[in-house]
This record gives sequence, C-alpha cells and structure tokens, in this order.
Amino acid sequence: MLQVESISVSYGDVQVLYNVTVEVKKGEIVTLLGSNGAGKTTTLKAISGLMRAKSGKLTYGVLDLQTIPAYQLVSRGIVMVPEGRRLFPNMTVYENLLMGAYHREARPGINGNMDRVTEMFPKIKERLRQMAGTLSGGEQQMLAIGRALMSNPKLLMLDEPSLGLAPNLVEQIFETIKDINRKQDVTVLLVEQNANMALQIANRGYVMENGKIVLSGNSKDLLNNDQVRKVYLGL
Amino acid sequence: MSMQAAEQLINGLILGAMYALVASGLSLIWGSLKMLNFAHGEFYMLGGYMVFMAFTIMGMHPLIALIFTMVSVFLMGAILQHLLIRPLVDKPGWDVSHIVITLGISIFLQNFAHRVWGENFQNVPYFFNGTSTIFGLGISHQRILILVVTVLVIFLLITFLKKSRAGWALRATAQDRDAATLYGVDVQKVYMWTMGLSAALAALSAAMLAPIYSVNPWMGNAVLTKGFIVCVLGGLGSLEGAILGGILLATAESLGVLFWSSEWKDVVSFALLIIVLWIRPSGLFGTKEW
Repeated sequence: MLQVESISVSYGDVQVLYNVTVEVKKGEIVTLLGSNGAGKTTTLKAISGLMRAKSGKLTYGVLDLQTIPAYQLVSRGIVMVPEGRRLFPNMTVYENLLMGAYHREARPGINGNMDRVTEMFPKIKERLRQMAGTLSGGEQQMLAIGRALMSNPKLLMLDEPSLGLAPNLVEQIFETIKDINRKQDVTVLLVEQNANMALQIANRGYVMENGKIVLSGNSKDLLNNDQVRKVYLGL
Repeated sequence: MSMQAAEQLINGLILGAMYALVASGLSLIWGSLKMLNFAHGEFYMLGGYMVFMAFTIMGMHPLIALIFTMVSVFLMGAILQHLLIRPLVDKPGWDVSHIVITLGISIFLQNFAHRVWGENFQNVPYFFNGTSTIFGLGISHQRILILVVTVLVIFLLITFLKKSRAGWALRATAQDRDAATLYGVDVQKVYMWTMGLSAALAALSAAMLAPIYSVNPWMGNAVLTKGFIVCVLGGLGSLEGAILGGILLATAESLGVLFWSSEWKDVVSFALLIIVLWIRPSGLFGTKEW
C-alpha cells in the first residue's frame, strides 16, 4: 500500500534521514520505534508531504507521493494524527471534527462518521460545544483520532499517540487503534516510544536510530530481540 | 455640554466603526499569515480612489460604487499576495522579508496613485444628502450609512468566519497551519483570499469616509498607524479585540476633544495604548487566534 524506498531528508544543511525504507501493506499495523530524535516524526512528515525528501521514492498504490501537494493527500486516504495532537484550540470540539471532513470526498459521509466517532468516544460527545483547547490530554488525543476518522482514512498515521497520557489512558488509546484497524479496515502506521505497547498491537515493526532503520521484523521477533529488549523495553 | 458630549460620542462610534474595519483586516492577515501588512494603508487609499472613480467620475449609484470598490480592491489584494508575497512565504528570512515586501508595495502604490491621480486632494460628494434628527441630535445620512454598513459588514464577517467552510479553513489555518494542510486546506489559497478580504475591508472603510475627508495618495499612512494601535490595544490577532479596540480608541479620541483641543487627539490615543499595555501587555483580549 505504502512504499518508502530509501529516502533522505534534510533540515537545511543538516541531514536527518539516511536511506530510510519502510513498507506498509494493506490491513497491517506497522510500528516505527526509536528514541527521541531518531527521525520517526520526520519520516511521517516526508510521507505526508509536510517535508520533501531530497532523494528516494515514495509510492502509495500507484501514486508517486512526491508529485502531490500535501493538502491533497487526505482525499486519497492518507491521514495523519500529528505529534502533540495539533488540534485547532480555539475551535469547538464539533468544529474540529468537521475540519476532519473538510475535503470533498469526506463530505457525503459526514453524518455517519460523526455518529461513529461520537459513539466510539462518549467523552467527546459530552463536550461538542467546548473549545478544543480546554480538553484534558486524553480527551484531546481522542478528539485528534476522531478528527482523523472523520476524513475516511485508508492509511492512518499516528505520531506518538501515547505521549503524556496516564497509563490507563494509554491502554485505552492502543485498544482504540487496534479496533480501528480490525473493525474499520484501516491500515495503520504507528510511531511510538512506548515499544512494548506498540509491538503488542502491531504486525511488524521498524527500529530507527540516528536517522537510519537499524532493525526490522515481526513484532514477535522484535519483542524477543535482545537489543530491543535491552534498549527499548528495559528488560 | 451634554448635547456636545452626545454628539462626540456618536462621532466616536462612527470613527470607531471605521477603525474596526481597518484593524480587523490587519488582524486577519496577522492571524493567518503572521505578517504585519505595511501596505494595508494603501489598500485603504485605493478604496478611496476607486470610489472616487466609480461615484464622482462615472456617476454610479452609491451602493454599486461601494460594491465596485470592494471587489476591485479585493482583486488587487489577492493578486499582489499571489504574485509578490506568496513566493516568500515559508522561505528563510520571512520575519524580515514580509516587512520589506509590504513596505515596498506600500511605496509603489503611493507613487502609483500620485502618478495616475496627481497630488491634488480629490473630493467625493456625500452619497446621500440630508440630516435626520435622532433624540434631538442632528446626524447626517452619510454618517448613518457608515454606521449601518459597518455593523452589517462586521456581522457578515463574523458569520462567515464561524459558519462557512471557507471561514473554517481560514480559522484553522490561523490556529495550526500544518494541521490545516493535513486535513485538506490549501493554505496558499487561504492566504490569497484572506489578503483580498482584508484589502476589501480597508477599501470599504475608505470609500464610506471619502465624502467626509478627501482622497489623496498619502491618506493610508495615518490609517495604518491607527490600525496597528487598535490591533495592539485589542490584542494582536484577535478579531473581537480589533472591533472593540477600534470603538474604544475612537470614543476616547472623540471625548478627548471635549476636554482638550483636537490636536491632542493622537496624544489621547497613544496615552490609552500605553496605559493598556502597561496593565495588560498582551492587549485587552490577549493575543489569540479566532
């Protein structure tokens, strides 16, 4: 479904990604692990067009992503929940959800999607008229995911959805991601620092260090890999 | 005295409505593009000349002339944004380059107007003659028109921002540009429309004031300064701040005239600005996006 073939990305003169190759197949949950500054977020930004790769290939189905402006990707089904949620803080919860369905293709399904999202997140439903900036961290993350679901995603990319959340909320968010993948048939690319949780719901994983992919494989194999256990699971 | 005060209060309200229109345009641009638009005064000036052309020279009906003015200056703003400012957005040095380019546009437009229309002050007759007496106060129909049109336009602007898809796109862009892009908003297009809208608001205010003041190539300078004062007073980037700040400033100026002579008007407005910033450094409504 998504093929990232040896892309390199720089911020100005500083190169941050070196020949990164990632593949996501339809129906999978793939996780991208690594510590802060390893290049996980940059990889997602390159896929979503917020940053441009200076070499390499990005293909989605038959589309060459490098030739499509960033704002058109959402209508092709590539939807990102960015790091730090990035809600529209001075818009209401309801308006934030509507912004998820801003693009033309999502408009016909807007009512059905709204019902589905509010059913999934009852807490959000209680707060539709509230400003998004006034929600708690967990509610904001749910709204961010809800907003993404309003866009009819085929490939959902989540950047550190567990960041800054209490452990019971983290579990709930990961359950939700699993549900979205299984029940709503959405392919997921998940960036995480919480390697343990991520590998438990993912089919496959990649480990990044200093802008390179250093390890990849099945979640089971990665969970049993000595290096991963030592560095990322603290075992 | 009380009659005079009431009259000054009405004048203040009318002037405040105009400040509000000019400042909300500046505020829209600051909110979305994070740009201080030094050419804003020149869109105001162009509004004056467009109504001069449409009403004085071509003799259009006043309302048609107002619409013609808004549409033509909207297009000028949008085109200048597209051709000259867009190439600089997102490029290194934007913090300085946006000031240089808008100052450049400002100087160009002033001299352009000077060349085309000359340095003579041009007069625009009142759109509607006559005076009505309201609560014992004589108010000219021109001033009533200004008040009604401004209130209507501000109401339409707020409705547009809160209720329309384009308005959501504009607010989303102002609040989080990357997130807006991820959800399908073409932010460059939003910038173009916002610049047009902002220019059209300034032009409308100039067009309605043209019969009271006169039209000249440099009329934008004083207005730009006032616009920035209103924006900072209300909280940079806040639309409510721009509207209420405008009314507050103009009322203070008009009432100040009662106590001191009218040359002291600017002293009153800057003193008000200093006091407000002293007490609330982020302006009356704080710096926030809509």
